[in-house]
Amino acid sequence: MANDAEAVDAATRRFYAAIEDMVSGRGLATMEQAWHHTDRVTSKHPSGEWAQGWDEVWATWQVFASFGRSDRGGGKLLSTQAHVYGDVAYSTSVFQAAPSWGGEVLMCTNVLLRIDGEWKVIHHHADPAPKMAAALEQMLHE
Amino acid sequence: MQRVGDESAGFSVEVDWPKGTVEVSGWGFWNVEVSRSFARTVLDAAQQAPGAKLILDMSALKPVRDEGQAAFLEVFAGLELLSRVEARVVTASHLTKLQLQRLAREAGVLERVRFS
Repeated sequence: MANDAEAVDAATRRFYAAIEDMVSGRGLATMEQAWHHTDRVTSKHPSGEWAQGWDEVWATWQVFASFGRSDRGGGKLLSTQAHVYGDVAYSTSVFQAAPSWGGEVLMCTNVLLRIDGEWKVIHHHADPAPKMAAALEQMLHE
Repeated sequence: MQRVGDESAGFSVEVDWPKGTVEVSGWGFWNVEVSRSFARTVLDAAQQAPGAKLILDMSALKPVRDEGQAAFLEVFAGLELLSRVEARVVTASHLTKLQLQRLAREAGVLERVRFS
């Protein structure tokens, strides 16, 4: 069980590393790897949208990635805790967005599923982040 | 009125002659087929109504994939050709708004498109 929790913890950290890649302009390859790609994955972003199914989820990450730039990184995973129930797990995390993305501290929940021994995200939920929305608007004009 | 797609995802285009507007509504999460018919349908309608104001009500549209982005880019670039046309874009989703604003900027028409 301890090993499962460690594996979920590692998968959660890969997801937040993927966010850092994305905001730093390194693209979405790691984000793509962090998720299972099925019609049943879902995401609720800090900007408020619900995305349902991998195609929709992917489209939302593409919007965020379009604002990624090498000088816009610096997000921090402040804490994370994994809870495993068989092949399903959830992690609760406190994440601080990168300064240029508003810098807000967000409470996040991620649901992960183990398929063929691999833990990957099937649902992401983050607190609303009004400062992030404002920061993105500002980036449009930079 | 022209309508492409279905109730879950699609768009409609209508020229309102008395108001001098081309009114476009988009909704849902577009598939490739809907995305690919968008630009031609909208620009054809705009060409039929020279000088009409283009109103894109995208308040029910989810962020679009690559094909949808290419379609909006083509519509925004078309504004350059239809030089008298002004455009207004209405969005409810913040991500959709950001995506369309970025595409308008990429097409060089961000200053000519009013977002609300």
